Amino acid sequence: MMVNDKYLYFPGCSVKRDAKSYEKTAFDVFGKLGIWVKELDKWWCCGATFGLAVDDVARHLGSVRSLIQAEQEGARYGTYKLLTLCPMCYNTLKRVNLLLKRDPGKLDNIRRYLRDENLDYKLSVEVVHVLPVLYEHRDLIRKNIVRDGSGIRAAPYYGCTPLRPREVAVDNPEAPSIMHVVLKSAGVRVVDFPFKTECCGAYVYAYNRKAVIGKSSMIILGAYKAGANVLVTVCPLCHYNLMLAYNSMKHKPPIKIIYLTELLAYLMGLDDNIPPEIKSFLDGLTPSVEGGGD
Amino acid sequence: MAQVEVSKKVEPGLRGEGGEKKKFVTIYYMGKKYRVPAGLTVLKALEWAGYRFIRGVGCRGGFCGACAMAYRLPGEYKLRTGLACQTVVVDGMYIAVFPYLAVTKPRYNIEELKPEAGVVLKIFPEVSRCIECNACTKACPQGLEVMDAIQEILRGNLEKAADMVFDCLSCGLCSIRCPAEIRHAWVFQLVRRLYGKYIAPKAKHVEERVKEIEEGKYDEELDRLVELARKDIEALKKMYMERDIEK
Repeated sequence: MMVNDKYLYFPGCSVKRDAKSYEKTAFDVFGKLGIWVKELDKWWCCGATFGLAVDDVARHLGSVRSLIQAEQEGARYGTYKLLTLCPMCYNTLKRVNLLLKRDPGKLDNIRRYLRDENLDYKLSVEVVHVLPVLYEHRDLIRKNIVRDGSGIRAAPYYGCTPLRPREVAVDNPEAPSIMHVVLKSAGVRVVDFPFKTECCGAYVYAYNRKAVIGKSSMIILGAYKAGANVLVTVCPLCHYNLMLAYNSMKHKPPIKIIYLTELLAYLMGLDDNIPPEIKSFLDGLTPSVEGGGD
Repeated sequence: MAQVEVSKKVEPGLRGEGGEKKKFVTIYYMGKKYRVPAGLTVLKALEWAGYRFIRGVGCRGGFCGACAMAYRLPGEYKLRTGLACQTVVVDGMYIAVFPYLAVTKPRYNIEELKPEAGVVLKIFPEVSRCIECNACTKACPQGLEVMDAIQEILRGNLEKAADMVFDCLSCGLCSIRCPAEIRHAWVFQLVRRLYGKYIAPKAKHVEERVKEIEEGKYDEELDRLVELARKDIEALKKMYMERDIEK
């Protein structure tokens, strides 16, 4: 395999627990594009949310542990770029990294605590989300497409965590377009819709399902009304909430909620890890497949 | 140093078998100072000093986890932990032995559960509060990677978690150090039960044998032996002694 790019990989709990097809199809796509990815030997929960209490540095320990692990493995594998699929992990790791870079006092505080375990962090890691990586390699994606995506009308849905706050945004937080470009490169018809950066309801599902179903239903129906037959996400939590909303609908619109990498893997003919029901749904939209076409 | 004179005035118990004078160390327990023979475990030293332990002590071999203790060493800021039956006294040691640790166990029915992270989190929601400080791991007298096991639960790998905590003694020291208030011993017990009941591969030969027994394959043979025992016990004894023994 020709190596075009190298990353260490931080999976995160949600990806390992609930979004296995996201990870597997991502790895299939990386393999095809020549993106070398190595999962960290050890990693710890990012903390799931970035703690906002300024004096509560202990909340950041999980992220720091994984950053230290990446730093140690970085020396071994020759890359300090730490890739995440889950934008929640991206958001948390990136913000912790930024905090430590900007606030030497907090870094010192954490260092002194971790000295007991012979750990130290030298700020050399760069946290990266999968979206800009795919965007960077869009020409390679175009070259590797083997299926006709003209029947697929994909609505790119970004949600919050890849875009907010601005200092960690992977794109323009108000009007993001990199997923649009990736999808266009993959040969599908891209459907822009007004709720592409709307919040799905996030962790509110834990105590107010109604609120989440309201928010996520609005996103699904918004994409459907704009003409999409596929709603594309990059986030396991968004996926969970969107599915919760979709399954609660009495009249289910004919639109499928899928991960970006599942769609890319399908268009590249990498079918091994695509869930069967998603595969057959996409087959139904693909002209070259018997019975397919729009 | 001057030669130590062997004197008969020394109280019994303060000399070794060879008559040499025993070395002593000073320890502090319940705020009081005691001179105890060096080389003893904390448990034995406190008993030597006159304490009697009715609760908070068990096997005395480092297996039961009953004698959890915390201590500080002179000149150190660290609060160390250990088992009183396994930790040797050090001069200047400041000791607290816990008779009992308030780690409550919620009730659940293992028959109604599934081997999933969500199930563990429903019974022990505090597991998701882990801030990964690793205080639990530092406290563990068994040297288990306690924090990493909790992390494996969060990512849904119960099999790995169960394997990592196989040697847990349920002493509870990790729980009293945990800022997330996780009840590790009971969490780990649940994880091992879920693993044993739902994840571990079943022993096929046992299932087959149980089925054979239930179908009455050995009934006739057993009836014959019972009958023989009644009629001619010597013949049965002879049969027993001369039976084939599988190697």
